[in-house]
Amino acid sequence: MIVFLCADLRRAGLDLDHALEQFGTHPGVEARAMDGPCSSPERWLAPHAAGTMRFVLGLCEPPPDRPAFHARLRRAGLDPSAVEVVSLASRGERAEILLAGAVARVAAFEGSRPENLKPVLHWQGPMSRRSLFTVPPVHYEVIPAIRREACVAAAGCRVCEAACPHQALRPGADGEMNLDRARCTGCGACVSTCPRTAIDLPGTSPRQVSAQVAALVAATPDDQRPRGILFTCAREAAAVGRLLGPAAAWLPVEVPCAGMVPPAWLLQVLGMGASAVAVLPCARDDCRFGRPDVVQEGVAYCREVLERLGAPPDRVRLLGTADVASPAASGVPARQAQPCERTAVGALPLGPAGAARVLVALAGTRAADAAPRALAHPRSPFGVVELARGCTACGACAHACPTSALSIQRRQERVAVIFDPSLCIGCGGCASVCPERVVTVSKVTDVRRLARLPEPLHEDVEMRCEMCGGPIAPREMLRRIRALLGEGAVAATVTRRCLECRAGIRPGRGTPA
Amino acid sequence: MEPGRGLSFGELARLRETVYRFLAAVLLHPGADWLATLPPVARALGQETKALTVFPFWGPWARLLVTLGELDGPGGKVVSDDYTRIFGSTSGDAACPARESAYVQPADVPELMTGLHAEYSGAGFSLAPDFAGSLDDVTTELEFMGLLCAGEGDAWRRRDSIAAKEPLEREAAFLEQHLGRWLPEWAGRVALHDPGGFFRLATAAAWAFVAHDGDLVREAAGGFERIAR
Repeated sequence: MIVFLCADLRRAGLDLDHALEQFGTHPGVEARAMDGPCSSPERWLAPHAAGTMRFVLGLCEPPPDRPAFHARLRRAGLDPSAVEVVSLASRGERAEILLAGAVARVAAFEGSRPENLKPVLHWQGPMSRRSLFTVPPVHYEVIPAIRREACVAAAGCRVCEAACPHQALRPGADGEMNLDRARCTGCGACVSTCPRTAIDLPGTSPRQVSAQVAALVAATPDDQRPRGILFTCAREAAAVGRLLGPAAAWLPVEVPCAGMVPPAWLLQVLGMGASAVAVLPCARDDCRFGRPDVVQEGVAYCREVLERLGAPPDRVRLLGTADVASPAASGVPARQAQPCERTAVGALPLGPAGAARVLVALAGTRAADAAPRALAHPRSPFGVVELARGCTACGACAHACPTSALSIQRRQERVAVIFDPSLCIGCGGCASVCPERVVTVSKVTDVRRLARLPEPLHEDVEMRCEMCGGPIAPREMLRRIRALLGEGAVAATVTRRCLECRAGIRPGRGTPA
Repeated sequence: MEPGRGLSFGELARLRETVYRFLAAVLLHPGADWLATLPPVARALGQETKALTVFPFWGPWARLLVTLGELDGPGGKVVSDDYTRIFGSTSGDAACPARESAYVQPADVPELMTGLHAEYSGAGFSLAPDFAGSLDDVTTELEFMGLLCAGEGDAWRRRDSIAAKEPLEREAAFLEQHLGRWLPEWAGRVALHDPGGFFRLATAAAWAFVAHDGDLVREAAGGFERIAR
């Protein structure tokens, strides 16, 4: 990776030598100051197109026309998703923090694929047959792509399909999830909710965002002033960047759309050491996500859960551009003295597992008799699974669970359905496949359960074959089979002998015990 | 210049035809003819397809042309051996078979072959009596796309946008239902089996071009709908 800093930043007050020294010592990072116009930074990068593929550009001002800048980068043989631009003039001491975040984000970039880019033709003016003769301007949108080897849609997972506000994700006849590229707007909602991180969005992968946030909050370990993370819609990023002055407490993290930021991310960022976290959507009619209510509900959920845990709810906020600009609102609440939070999430990627640890850490600071009540909320990133009577421990739920929150445990004569509340995202995949219809799932945040170890929801005895002594099935399953088949000879054989002995494929394995 | 500006759909169709047909030729077995013909063509195409620099597949395409342009030396024998190792022969033991039927369920193969036959004949093409390849071979499918682009280009040159609509829609459907479906997996497999080799470049360029073309053609076909509205 190469970090290029515009030499003119010296005049803007940046201690360029210090910055070069700081980033030049990062492993795998080369830092250079260059004399050159900020208006055509791709000229600096093009000579390196064949070798280094990741860059951070520290400019006085960002290129004014981003799509045109990206087009120039592509023409120079560069991948715009691998180039992070930070405008640093008038950023004061924040400049190096912002640079550290950009370096971390680009360092976590894992490459992009041809399917991540969607050309869109911009037909202009009233259309006639004549206008069809000339190719109109093309702009490119970065859109997600599914990694088939990691996706578990074939096992029944439908989390991304439910998250997509444009019905762009649908399973095919083979059960595999397909992305309708024409419908996809690249909002990224599917990317941040996929429990298997099987959907790539170059430039904004959860791993990259997580790395940037971690670098931003760690950049000034001795600085006790409050610092907040501001997830900013890409369409507002330039305006927000201009409004955040050298003393601003908010540190912006750009995402393609605020709809990409789920409540789990907001909660986990608090655990990474941020004083506060906010989301800034674009509020435009052509918002990529188009569901401001979902973003609002997500923030409302976070505030409610914090309140129940005794933490200030204003540590999570929904902001507009005007809020960032106003001096009063730019003051981020002071960090609460809860050292357990920062260590709780460690290097976990952004997601429900990290958020669960933050909530457990927050709850741990309260008196034991003040344990918070469970919170049922449609935006809860966690779920609770319950089993009614009649579970046969067939394992269909465990097979369908995309996070392994449900598993089947066999130990000696016992068979159990085990539930790990800290892994459950409440997707309901288990309930949809249960043949006995005994599974219920609710979107509930129950911090007491999140803190507990995996627990058995159902236990049974494994019945043994009368011929070979091998396992047949759990007792309840055999009871169910008898109920379906009646008490005839077939039922008797099926429920007393294992599959191999019934099929006679264990020659010489004795006679009935 | 913004991507696309100043280029006519007729010129674009001609360039796309060139790319499809050239890719189809590159993915044939590199025998003596291949080694004698393609490297000089690759050197010439670098200039001839310069108008494509505005599109993001230019990077993989240019890398392919440069590498192929330097292959008429001793590197040719290596490429020939690599081809057999990666794409195999007719014995069916290839690591990365270069035919669509290897990437669908066996039960779906008859339907695939019937569908391809219908696509080809529906577009007015029939296979030559001495055609020894397979309907679903990557070279056949790429060549078919080249032929569709040629038909589209003819229509644009006649300034007959209505006649251009049909091949455009055929191209969009064929890319979505065939090349766009199996090329990513195929290119992924080749990248694993030939990480530093020529065919990794060739398949990456083919997939980058097909992925882009699928969207571009669909968008272009959408222009007709806008007129209809």
